[in-house]
Amino acid sequence: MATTTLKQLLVLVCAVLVLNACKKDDDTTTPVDPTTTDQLITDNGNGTGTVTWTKDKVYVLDGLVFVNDGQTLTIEAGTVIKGNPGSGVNASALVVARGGKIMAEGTASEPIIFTNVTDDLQGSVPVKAKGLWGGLIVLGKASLNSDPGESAIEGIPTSEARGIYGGTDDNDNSGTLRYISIRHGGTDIGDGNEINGLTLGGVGSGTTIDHIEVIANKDDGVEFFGGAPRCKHMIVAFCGDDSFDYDEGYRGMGQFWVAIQEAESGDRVGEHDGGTSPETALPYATPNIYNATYVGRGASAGKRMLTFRDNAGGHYVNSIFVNQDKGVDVELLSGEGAFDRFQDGNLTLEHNIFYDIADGTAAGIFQVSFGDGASANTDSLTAAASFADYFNTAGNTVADPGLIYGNDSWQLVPTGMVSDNLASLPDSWMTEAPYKGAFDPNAASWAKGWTLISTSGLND
Amino acid sequence: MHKTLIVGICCMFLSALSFAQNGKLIGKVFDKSNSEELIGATVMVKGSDSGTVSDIDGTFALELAPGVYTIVSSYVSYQEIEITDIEIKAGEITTQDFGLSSGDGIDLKEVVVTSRKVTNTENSLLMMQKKTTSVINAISTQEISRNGDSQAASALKRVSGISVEGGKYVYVRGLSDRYSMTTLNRAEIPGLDPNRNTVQMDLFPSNIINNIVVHKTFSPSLPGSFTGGYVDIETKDFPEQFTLRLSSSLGYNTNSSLRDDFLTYEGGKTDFLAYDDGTRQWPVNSNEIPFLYQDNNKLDEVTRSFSRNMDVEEKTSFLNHSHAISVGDQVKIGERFLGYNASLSYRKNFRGFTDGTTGRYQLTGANEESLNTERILNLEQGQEEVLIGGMLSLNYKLSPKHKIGLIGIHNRSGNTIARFLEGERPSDEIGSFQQTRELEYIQRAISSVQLKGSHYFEGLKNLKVNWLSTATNASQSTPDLRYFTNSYFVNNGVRTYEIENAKYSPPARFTREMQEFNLDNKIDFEAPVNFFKQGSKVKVGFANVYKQREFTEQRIDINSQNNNFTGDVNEYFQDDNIGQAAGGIYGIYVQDGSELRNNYNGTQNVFASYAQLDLNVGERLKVQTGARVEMAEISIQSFDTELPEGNLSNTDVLPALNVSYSVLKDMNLRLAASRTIARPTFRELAPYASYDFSTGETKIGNAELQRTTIDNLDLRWEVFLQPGELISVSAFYKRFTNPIETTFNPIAANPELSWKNVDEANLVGLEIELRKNLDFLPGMKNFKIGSNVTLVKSTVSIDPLELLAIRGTDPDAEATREMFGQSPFVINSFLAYDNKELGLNANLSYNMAAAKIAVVIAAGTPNVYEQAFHALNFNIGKDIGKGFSMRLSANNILDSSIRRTYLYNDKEYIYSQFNPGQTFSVGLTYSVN
Repeated sequence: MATTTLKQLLVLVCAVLVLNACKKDDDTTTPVDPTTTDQLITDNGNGTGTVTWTKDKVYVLDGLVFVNDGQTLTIEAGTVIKGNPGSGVNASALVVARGGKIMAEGTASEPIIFTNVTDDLQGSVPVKAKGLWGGLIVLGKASLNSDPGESAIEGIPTSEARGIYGGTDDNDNSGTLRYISIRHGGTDIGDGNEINGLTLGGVGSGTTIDHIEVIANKDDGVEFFGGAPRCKHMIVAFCGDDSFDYDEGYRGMGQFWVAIQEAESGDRVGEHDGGTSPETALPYATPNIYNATYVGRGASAGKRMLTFRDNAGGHYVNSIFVNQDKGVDVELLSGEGAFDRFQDGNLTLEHNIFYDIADGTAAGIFQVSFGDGASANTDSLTAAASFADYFNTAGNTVADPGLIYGNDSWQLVPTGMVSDNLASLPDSWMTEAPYKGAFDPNAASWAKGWTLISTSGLND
Repeated sequence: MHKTLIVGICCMFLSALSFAQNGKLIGKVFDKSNSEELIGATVMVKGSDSGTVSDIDGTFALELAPGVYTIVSSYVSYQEIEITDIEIKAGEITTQDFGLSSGDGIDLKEVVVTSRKVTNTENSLLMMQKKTTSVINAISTQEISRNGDSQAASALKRVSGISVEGGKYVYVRGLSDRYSMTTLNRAEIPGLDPNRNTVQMDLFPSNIINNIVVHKTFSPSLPGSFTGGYVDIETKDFPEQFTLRLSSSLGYNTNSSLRDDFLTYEGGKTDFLAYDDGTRQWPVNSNEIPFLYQDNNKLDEVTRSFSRNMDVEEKTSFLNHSHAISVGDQVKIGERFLGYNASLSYRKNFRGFTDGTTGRYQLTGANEESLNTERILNLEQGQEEVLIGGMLSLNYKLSPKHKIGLIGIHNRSGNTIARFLEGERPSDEIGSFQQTRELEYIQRAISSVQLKGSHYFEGLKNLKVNWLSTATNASQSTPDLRYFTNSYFVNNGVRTYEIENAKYSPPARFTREMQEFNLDNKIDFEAPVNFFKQGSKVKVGFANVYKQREFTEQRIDINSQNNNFTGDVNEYFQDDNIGQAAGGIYGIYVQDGSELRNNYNGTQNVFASYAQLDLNVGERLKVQTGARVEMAEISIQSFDTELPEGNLSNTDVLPALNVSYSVLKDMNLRLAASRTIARPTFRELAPYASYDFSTGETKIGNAELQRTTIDNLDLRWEVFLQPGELISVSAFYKRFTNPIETTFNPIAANPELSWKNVDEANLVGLEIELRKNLDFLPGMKNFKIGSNVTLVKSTVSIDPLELLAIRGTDPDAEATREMFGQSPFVINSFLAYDNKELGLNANLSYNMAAAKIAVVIAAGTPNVYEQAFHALNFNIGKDIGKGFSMRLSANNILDSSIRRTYLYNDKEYIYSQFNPGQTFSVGLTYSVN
C-alpha cells in the first residue's frame, strides 16, 4: 500500500519536474495539467485492453503491465512510455503475453521511446544510467527445447500465468515492433536477475521486429528464449551484461545487428546457449545471423566476444567483430556440447572479419573451452586444433575494417575493405547487402537520428 | 532488590536446616499396575500414631526422629504394603516409594518388603515405560546430568529412534521434524525458526528439566498433529529437598577455540547478552529511500547513513563456556507446601571452520558421464552463539488434594555469523572466481507463562481435574543481514575485480522480524470407572491452541552505476565512491528492494476435545481407546492482498487404540493403531519468496496446501529384565495421504522450490532396543550397554509435472523417492559405567542417522543427500567431595564432518561440507542437597 502511494507521489514529483523543465525552456508556456499528459497504467489483472496509446500523452507503467491474450495494444509513432522505478515484483515492465499483440510502429523521425519516469528526455538521466525500470517483454507460442515445453519468463512470479511462454506455433505473430528505443532498463528482479532490454520468449516468425535500440540496460540487451523471431536493424549499446543472448533453442534469423560495449561494463557480446534442461534437447539452437557488427570493451576488460555453450549451434556470417580481449569460444564437454554442433555443421562462423581481438591469430581467436570432464588431453587438443584450422577454411579474416571505437566515441560505418569474399544469403527475408557488418560503407548509418546513441553524439 | 534476594536465599537455607535434629522420610504411593499415583493413601509408622496421607501427586513426607522404622502404606481395595528397616538419619532425607497392587480377586494380606532404596529415577521411568499402555520413552534428570548434557537436545539423542538434526531439531524414527512435536509441560510453544514447525531443543538448558517424555504412539489426550513422536519437556515442580546447584564448564574445540583467524564482524556492545543494542538498526526504513534521479542529494545522504561495514574480519576466539545456577526447595507456608525452582544459565559457544566447501553441479543431459560443475567455493565461517535462559516455577498445594503452579520462562539466543566464500564458477567462465561475504545476526527470544492446576475431588467419584493455560511470545529478528558478492578473473597473474549484477545479486541488506504469540488452554478430567479391574478410568478433555504470527522483511539493494570495485570492500564504501561524490559515473546508492508479498500474517486456531478409556481388562490386558476431534482453522494473508489467501478449515476425528498385553510378568506385547494429521506451517502456506544467497534458490510458499492424514500401526514386544534393563522390538507402518513434500518448480527460470501435496507416501519400519547391565560378566559390575537401531523404508510419489522435468534429463527416473528428510536407519548406542561408591561414572556413546534427502534439486540432477554423521562422544564424571563434582568430556572423537552430496555414476559431488571439529570440555559442579 505504502509503496503504491509512494509511487503515485513519485509520479507527481516527476510530473512537477517535467513541468519545471518546460518552464525553464519557455516561461511563457501555460503549464499543462500533468494528469492530462501523464497517464498512469496499472494492470490489476485486466491487462491494457485493446487500446491505442497516442503520442500526445506519456504513459507511465506502474508495475508489470500485460497485454493479455486476445488484446491488441497499438502505440502511435512518437509515443513515450515511462516505467516507474522499483525492483523485484515491484518492477515496472510492459509484457505482451502469449496470444496478446503489440502494434508499435515508430518511424525514423518519430521513434517510440521506452524509458524511466525520471527521464525528461532532455538529459536529466545520463545516457549510460542503467537499471532504472524494467523493460519490454514479448511472449509467444513458438516452441522451446526445454522440458516441459513451457517456461515462466524470468522476473515474473511463477504464479502469474500470463508470464508463461512457449508452445508449438513457430509462425506465431505477436505484432510489430518498429523504430523503438528502449532506455535505462534492466532493474533487478531479484535472485541475481534483471530484466533484459527486449526479452523475446517463444516469439514466432510472424512477428515483425525491425529497427530496435536497447541502450544502457543493466542486464542483457536482447535475449531470446527459444522461438523463431526474425529481427533486423538491432542496436544494443552499453548493457551491463551480454548484448545478444539466446537460450532454449532459438531458431530465428537476424541481420544488421550492432552491439557496442562501453569500457566499464558488459560481459559477452554474444552469449549463446543451446538448451537449459536438458542442455542437449531438440530442436537445436541454430539462428542465422548475418551482417553483425560487434564492438567489445577492449583488451583490458578480459571479456569474450562470442560464447557457444550448453550445446548451442548458430551461424554468424558476413560479420565484423572488433575490440575484445577474447574471441569465440566453443564448449567441449565429455558428453554432448556445443563442439558437437560445430562438428555436425549446426554451428558455423563464415566470412567474418575479426580485428583487435585476442592475439590476432586463428588459434587465439577461435578457442575451445574445456568443460567438466574434458581436460587438456589429446582429444581436447585435437578438437582445439580443428576449430582453429576452421578459422581460415571458413573464410574468416583478420583485417582492419576501419571502424572507430574507444574514448566514448564510435564510428561504425566501415572505411576499410569489407566488400570482398562474401557469403550468399540463406533466405529471401534477408536484405541484399554487398558488404560485411551492419552498415553499408557507402551510405549513412541507419541508426542515425532515431537512436539515443546517435542523438547523444556518441555514435556517428 | 539485592537485599530481598539475600533474605530470600537465607530463608531457603533456614528452611533446609529446619529439620536438622530430625530426619525426613519422603516418597510416593503408586498403583503398581500402571505406575500412577494414589491420592489419599495412608503412610504410617508401624505401631504408632504418627503417619500421613499421600497428596495429589501421590507424595508424602514424614518427619521422624533418627532410628530404624517399619512403615505401612494402605489404600482402599489395595493390598497393604509394609516396608521394614527404613533408616532415618538426623538432618537427612530418606526416600521410599510404595507400590500397591490392586486387591480385587486376590488375598488382601499385607506384603512385607525390606527397604531397598530407590533413587535411580531412570529405572522408575523405565517402570513407567513398562506400565503405560502406549509406546513411550523417557529421560530423567539424573540421566541428563550423568551424561553431562547441557541442554535437552543432547539428552534426546540417546532415546530410541531419535536423531537430532543440526543440534536443534528432533527427528523421530528418521521422520523429519514436520512429523514431530515438542511441548513444554504439555503446552505448545512456538518454534523460533520461521521455516520449521518445531521448537529448537537447544533452547532448553538441562537445569530446568525434570524429565523428557517421548510418545511414539498417539493417545486421544495428546495433540493429533504428530506422527513420528511427541516430545514433552517437563520442568521441575516440587523438589524433594533443598537443592542448590552451581556449575561451570569450559570447552576447547579443535577448529574454533583460541584461533586468531576466527571470522566475525563488528556487532553491538550487548551482543554478549544476546541483545542487539541498536547497532544494527537501520537509519531509515527501506521505503523511505528515494529512487535514483528522484532526489540524488537525499539519496546520497541516506546511502551514507547506513553502516558501511560489509566485510568479514578476523579476531581471536575464546573457549566455549557455560555457567548455570539453579535453586529449588519446598517450603511450608502455613500448613501447605510451596515448591519453587529458579534457574539461570548462560552459554557462549564459538563454532567455526576454515575449510568448508560449497559446490553446485548439474546434470546437463541424459547419458552424461559426469555432472557439470557450476561452482566450487571454499567456505570459511565463524559463529558466536550466546544462549541465556531463566526459569522460575512456583507450585503450591492449596490442600493435599489441590495444587496450582505458575511457571515463567525466558530464553534468548544471539547468533553472530560471518561467512566468506571464495571459489570458481567454471560453468559461467573458466578462470572466473567469486567471493561472497555474509554478515548475519539472529536474535531469538521466547517468553512463556504457564498457569496450571490439579484438583482431586474425592466426593465426586474421585474425579481428577488438570488444567493448563500457557501464553507464549516468541520473536526472531535478523537485523541488518548483509551480503556482498563480487567476482574476479586472473589474467597474467593480475586480478581484475568486478561486481556483475547480471550474474548474482548486488550487495544487499535485509531486516527480518518474526513475532509469534501462542495461547494454549487445556483441561482434562479423569475419573476411575468400575469396568473390569481396578485402575480403569475414563478421561475427557478440551483444548484450544491459538497461534498468531507476523513476519516482515525489508530489503535494500546496494547498487552502483560505476565499476570502481578493486577488491577491497572497505575502500569501495569510502565517501568518495558514494553517489555523486564518485564523480563522472554515479557511485554507490541504496534502493528499496522490499517486496510486499514477503510479509505475512497468519493465525491458526485449533479446538480439540477427546474421550479416552483406559481399561485394565484383566490381570494382563490393558486397553486404551478413544478418539480426539480437532477442528482447525488456519489462515495466511500476505500483506500483498492481491495474492491468494491460504485457508485451511478441517475437522478431523482421530481415533486411537492402544493395547498392552502382559505375556509374562516382565514381558509385554503392544499394539497401537491411530490416525494423526500433519498441518502445513505458516511459512509453507505464505506466498513469501525467500532467496537464499548461499544456494541461489528461491523458496516460495503455496497457499493451496492441505493437511496430511496419517494412519499409524505399531506392534511392539518388550522384556524388562533387571531394573533398568530392557529388550524391545517394534514394527511400524504409516500411510500418509496427501503428504507435503519439497518440490521444485519445473517451469521456473531460476531454481525455485516450493511445497506440494503429493498423492501418498508409505513407510514401514523396525525398531530394536536393548539396555543391559553387564554385571554378569566378570569385572563388569558397574557397566551397562544400550543400543537402539531403527530401520525405515519410505516411498513417496513425485509430483507429475516435476517427474516430467526429471525424465527430461534422466529418462529412467523412478516415479517415487524416499520421503524428504527420512533416514533409512538410525543408530544410538552407549556403554556406561556407574560406580556409586566411588562417585565415578562414564559414558561412551555413538549416534548416527543414515543418509537422507536434504535438498531437492531441479530436473534430473540427483537430489542432495545429507550423509551420516558418526558422532562418538565420551564423558567421565567424578564426585570430588564437599559437594563438588567434575566432568570431562570429548565430543566428535571421530572428527566427523557434516557432508551433503550428490551421487552420480557412483561418484560423489560435494554440495556442502564442513568439519565441526572435536570438542574437549571440563566442567565443575557444586551442589547442595
